[in-house]
Amino acid sequence: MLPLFFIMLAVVGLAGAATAVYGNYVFSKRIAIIASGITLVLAIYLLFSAIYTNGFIGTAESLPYISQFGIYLSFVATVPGVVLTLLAAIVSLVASITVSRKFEDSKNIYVLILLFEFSAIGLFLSANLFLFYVFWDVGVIASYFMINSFGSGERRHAANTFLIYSIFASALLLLAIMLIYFYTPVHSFDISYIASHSSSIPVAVQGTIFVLFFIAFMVKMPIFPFHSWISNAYAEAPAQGSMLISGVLSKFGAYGMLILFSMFAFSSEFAKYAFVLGTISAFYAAFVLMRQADLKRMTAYSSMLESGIILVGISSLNAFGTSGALYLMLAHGLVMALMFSVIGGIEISYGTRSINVLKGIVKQSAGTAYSFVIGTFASTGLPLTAGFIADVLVFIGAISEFGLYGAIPIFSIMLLGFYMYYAINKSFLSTKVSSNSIARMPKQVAVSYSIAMIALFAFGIFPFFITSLFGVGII
Amino acid sequence: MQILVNFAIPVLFAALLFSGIATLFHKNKKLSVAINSSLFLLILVTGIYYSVTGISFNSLSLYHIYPFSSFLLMLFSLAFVLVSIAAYELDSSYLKFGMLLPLLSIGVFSVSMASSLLTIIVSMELMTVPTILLIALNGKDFAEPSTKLFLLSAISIAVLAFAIALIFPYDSSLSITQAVSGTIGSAYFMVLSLVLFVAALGVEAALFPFNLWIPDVYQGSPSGVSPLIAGINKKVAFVALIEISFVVFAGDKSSIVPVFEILAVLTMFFGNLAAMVQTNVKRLLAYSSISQAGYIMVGLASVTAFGLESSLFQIFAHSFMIIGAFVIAGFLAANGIESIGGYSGLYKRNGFLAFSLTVIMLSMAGIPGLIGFVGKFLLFSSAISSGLIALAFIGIINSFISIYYYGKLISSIYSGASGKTMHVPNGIYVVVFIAIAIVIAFGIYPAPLMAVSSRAAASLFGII
Amino acid sequence: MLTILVILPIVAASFLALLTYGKEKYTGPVVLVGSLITSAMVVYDSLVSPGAVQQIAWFGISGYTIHITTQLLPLNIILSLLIAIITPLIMFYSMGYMEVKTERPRFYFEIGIFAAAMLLFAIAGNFITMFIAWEMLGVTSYLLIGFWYQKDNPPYAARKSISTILIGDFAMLAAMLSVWVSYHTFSFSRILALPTNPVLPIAMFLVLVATFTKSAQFPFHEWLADAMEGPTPVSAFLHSSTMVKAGVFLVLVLFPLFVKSGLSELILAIGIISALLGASNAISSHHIKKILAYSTIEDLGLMFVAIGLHAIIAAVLFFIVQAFYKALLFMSAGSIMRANGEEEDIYKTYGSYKRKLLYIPMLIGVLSIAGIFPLSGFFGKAAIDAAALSNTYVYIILAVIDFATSAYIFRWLFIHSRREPAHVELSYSSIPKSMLYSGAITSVLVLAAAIAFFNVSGFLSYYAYASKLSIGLAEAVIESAIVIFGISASYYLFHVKKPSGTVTTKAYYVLFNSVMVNAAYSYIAKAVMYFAEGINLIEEMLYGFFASGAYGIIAMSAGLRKIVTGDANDYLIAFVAGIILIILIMLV
Repeated sequence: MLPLFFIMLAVVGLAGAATAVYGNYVFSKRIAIIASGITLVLAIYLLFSAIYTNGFIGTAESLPYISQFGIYLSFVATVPGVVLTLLAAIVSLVASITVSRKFEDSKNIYVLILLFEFSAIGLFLSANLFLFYVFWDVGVIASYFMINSFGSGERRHAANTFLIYSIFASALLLLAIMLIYFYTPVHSFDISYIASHSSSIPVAVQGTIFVLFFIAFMVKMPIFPFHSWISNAYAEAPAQGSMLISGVLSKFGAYGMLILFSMFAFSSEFAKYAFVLGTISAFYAAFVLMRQADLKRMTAYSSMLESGIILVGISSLNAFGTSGALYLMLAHGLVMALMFSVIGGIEISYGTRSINVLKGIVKQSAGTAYSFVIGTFASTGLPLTAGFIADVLVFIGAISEFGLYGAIPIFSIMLLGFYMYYAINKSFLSTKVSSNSIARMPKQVAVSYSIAMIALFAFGIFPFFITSLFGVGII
Repeated sequence: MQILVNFAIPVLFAALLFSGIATLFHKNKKLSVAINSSLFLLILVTGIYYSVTGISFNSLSLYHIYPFSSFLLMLFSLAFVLVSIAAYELDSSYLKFGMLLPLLSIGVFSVSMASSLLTIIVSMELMTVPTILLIALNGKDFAEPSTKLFLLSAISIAVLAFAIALIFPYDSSLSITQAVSGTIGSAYFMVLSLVLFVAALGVEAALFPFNLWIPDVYQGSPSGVSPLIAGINKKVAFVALIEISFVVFAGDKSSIVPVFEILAVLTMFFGNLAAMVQTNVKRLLAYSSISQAGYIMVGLASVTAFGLESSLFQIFAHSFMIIGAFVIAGFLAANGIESIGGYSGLYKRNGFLAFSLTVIMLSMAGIPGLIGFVGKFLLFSSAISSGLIALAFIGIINSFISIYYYGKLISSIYSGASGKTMHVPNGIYVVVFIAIAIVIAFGIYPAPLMAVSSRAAASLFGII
Repeated sequence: MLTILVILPIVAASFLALLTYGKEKYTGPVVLVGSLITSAMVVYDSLVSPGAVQQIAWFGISGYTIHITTQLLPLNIILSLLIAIITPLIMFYSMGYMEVKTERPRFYFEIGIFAAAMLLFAIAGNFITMFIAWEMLGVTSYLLIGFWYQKDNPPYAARKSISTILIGDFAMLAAMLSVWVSYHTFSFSRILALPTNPVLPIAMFLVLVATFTKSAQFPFHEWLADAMEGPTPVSAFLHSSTMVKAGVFLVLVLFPLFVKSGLSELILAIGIISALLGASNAISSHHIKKILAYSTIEDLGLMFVAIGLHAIIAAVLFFIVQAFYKALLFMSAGSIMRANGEEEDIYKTYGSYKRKLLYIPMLIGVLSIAGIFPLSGFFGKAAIDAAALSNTYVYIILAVIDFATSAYIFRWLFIHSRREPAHVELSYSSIPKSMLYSGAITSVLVLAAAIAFFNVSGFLSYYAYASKLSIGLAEAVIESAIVIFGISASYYLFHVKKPSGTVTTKAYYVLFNSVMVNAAYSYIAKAVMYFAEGINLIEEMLYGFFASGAYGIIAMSAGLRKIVTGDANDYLIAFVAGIILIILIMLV
């Protein structure tokens, strides 16, 4: 069989290198779209092989890398890995297609998008924690440069805040990974090996490692109280950056959380605290969101809210909760791609993102306005969008584990809905007065959010493709 | 063939010496740099040969060739190639380099291959004096850094001599391999000797609190010299420290650990915290290199072969990172750009320098895919594997703090204002390119370098 | 045939409607045809496979399968037939109503999707199918209420409705998932068959909250009045005859569960309160459609009262008859508004008697809602009153409500059928034919609906709580007397006295209490916003906390930097200090 994982990484990596070395804006954009397109096709192939080929989950590919530590460049198809790779491919495609504020040398943004996609695919498919860490940091750096070089407003401040939080997370992650390595009976970074041998780690060390990982992933998801970076980072990043950071980078944390909880027996002791944290985070985000006027900040906090829900799902520690959390990662990533490309389009077209200034967008850009409305539907988990399946699974899981308390976080989504509809009312679907667009909505933006919407509905109406994987077991 | 192998190094030393003296007469900068670089390259080739064959022998009962020294030969010869090319481009009066670098390099190589404590002290002296001259010969403006360096070096050498004198009653041969047996722990003279060794070498190795002169000198030195003292001299002090603490005092590891541990912590915190508020890039790099010295100490503190391997790896890594960084900073300083604010818009003025500096900064900050990450990973791993979890944690916290000032610099490079496109001489290109090629190549595929440094570390432990 | 396929034609037609931009004259007919096909299929299914429960696996996880389930039990048949009948009428009505051509595709798309969702709701056989439909109802209702986004109020009204409905949606989601966790099934029939469970009361309470939001019951009722900002066909369709009754319908379907959970009294109490609030606002409102909307709140309240009294058959009967007369009245109101230049203040509308084709059907509707024998409304109300006989207080309250109903509906009729003043120009002749014809057809249905009284109890005999409907002669007489009294009072107050519509007595404010309810809503909203402000303050403090941590480190850094004085003497001192430090470490 072809070394599919390496091919995917090579396609993205080579395309990234090609755009870095040669070419201008148009060429780079084309290369990025083609590479992401190919990756998407491969990711879909991966998904279908995972569904229809017995034993495909668990397929590993590896090359020797650092023999002294027994580190291999090893990649393995896991259920969350396959699903999130698909997500990364879709979001990257959307990000390559959409446009944002032009920079003189903006071809570099495609280098960064491809670098990011490379890191995302590598991370989701990596079979050991060393690679996980490496790709994690590459993703962070790509995002950092996206904010720092292509952002708007206080981009440097935002980028530095982002970087400091991210590196803080990385530092804890690195420490945790090294601790794991030296405390496993046969020193190993291999995730499946650690999962099966974690019980032989002394309980106190296990707790330390768990908490280190947990905080690192909390920062990235983000979960209260380590979320202060999102507001600026999501708001000041270019549309592509916001999409990738909220849609995929935050899934690094969520995916890490998922494997963390499946890796340690300690997680069962910790689950209830995680649940409470997730719930607090969700409600906190919902209330902070209510005071935001900037569409991007609003969406940023909605993303934090969903991260809280994802944590709730993961902390339920049962098949429903975990697969729901995974489904929510997928759904939420797509929603973010949709929302940020819509908002990016609005920013180009109207020169602002404040709902206090924007009025009656539907008048001049009906498609965009209704896409935002659909995005709102999807964020609130409307049936037939992917979010609904996710919510159902997450909360069945949570209620099974935590009784009726498990249903409490549902109402944070309700609060989100209140404010999102308020924003729609204020800026989108009411044209008593309407803002004048200063530029035409670029066609690419429409294409990009159409892709996101199609994906959202596809996963909402045909959930059985993904859910059929969950029988195999999450990790 | 055998003769060639055995006597390559002395012959090359003689050639270097000759080249240095010849420079006095022919006064041709190009010729001088060409000859010097070729000789360094030959040493590099020799080092690679020694390293690949894993050869081990004593030559003229002065030099000891074994994987440890071959590793350092490779490292320093390559570093010298870069430094001499950089000095050629950065310093209009290259001739003093042409003359002094060969002399200096002999000292450096000798420390690496030292088999006797006397060799170490003499070689250290041989390295330091030309360095002071290289700074001082630039005129009145450089009187201050050269004086400071001179003062501290003088103290350092004096203390070093005293430390050796303290050993003398126990072993008059002064050969490092047989110097002391494992029973010195109780002898107060020996303890004092160890303390003085650490203090004396700590001056050049930039350990806190012996390192306060570093920022002044690194910043004040002429652009051609900073890469030399940061990339080579400092590392030589580490090499001497390794030889003395791991070989001479091999029996005394338990008392070394807390000292190294505390020095590592202090040095890391001092370097990183003080770097945060710096605005001058060369000074920032000076503090950053102090913090890197702290990381190297983390590896030494674990006093295992693995720890030593990590430290050697990091010495190698940091050598090229800091040479690259100081060459860029020196070149820009020559163009009047010295402060972080002045670096803004660099990516528009010269994309290559901007990219290279970014890569080096990221590498120093420990971002995966670059050599600095592998180094830190090894260092902290070695600390954890020796049970020094707190030390590893502090190290990781420090590398987190460091992201602040590296990030600040990077962020400045990519911020707004554009200016005139900058012309960069070819020599600078070559040096920077080699530096980042090493940073990236061994960052992505560190296995060969790890293997070499691992063998070097093992061999050092093996000669006891 | 798969029952769920009935929604296909209307869904397809709705999407086709979106393709008719530029050829808007086809939009209406396309959707009308689609809805007719759907109706035919519903009728066919109801005849061929009554009682059928079908399930299609949707997705499976960890050994459980989530199904899309449909059922065609008699209750489902009743609602789906109701929808099958009303949908084409509304589509037909809209063909005349929708003058603005460019808006037609959007309108028909949204209302078509709504019709499909409503039908799906009617045939839903498990929670998840029901919930899909339920949410689609909410969303389409939201879009349709805010349809005229060019105007001031509709977007606001739409937001109000969706905000209220969101509460219900998430309550329903929580309830449905709790039920699943307890029973490991979503299927209505299985859950009804299984024994009770400790979670059930809480879950059912949440379901009840959801139904109260959807069916506009106290304290969630005000959105329905605001929903009248939507186009009239929408009011006639969603906000009187179909969507708002989703809540009632769900309670009917799951009624045994509510009984098990001991929630009947709550249903009764909320029903009474809502009915009273609806009636009092209806009698005092000035808005031609809002009067009908408050009347709908009252009607829905009465249905809940009947359910609370366990008079299921009466509730179902009222459920059926109310749909027709309320749709009819809204259609008429739309026509009157059209003739009065889209005037909404009832005191500024005139002359509805001028068009017989409008007036006579409307009169049938008015008489029916007032409860004149032998119109369908009479049977509906009398059946509920009869059920309340056992409880005197409830009976008295219902009598008051009956009185108020006949009074306000005739007030409505009397006021807009006044002769117009000289300066007002009316255009009754230009009302589109489709609007009048559909009203006329509906009036026939209003008349025909009386038959339901005789059939419904037989049809629902399978139902656990079914009992025979019976209305005694004495009750019928009392009922009629109250109605006639109400009409007379209305005649005196609103016809003879020629009211001007500017009454502002205290009694008026007590009756027109929607102002207060809305004020309460905005207080709650404000409270939430203040709370959010507080949280936001914490957010800023948190940011400040981390930032000050960072600044603290930087300040430390600035302090530390001072060690490096630049003076070589200090360096030498440091050197000595270092040696002492190392010796100390060695000694310790």
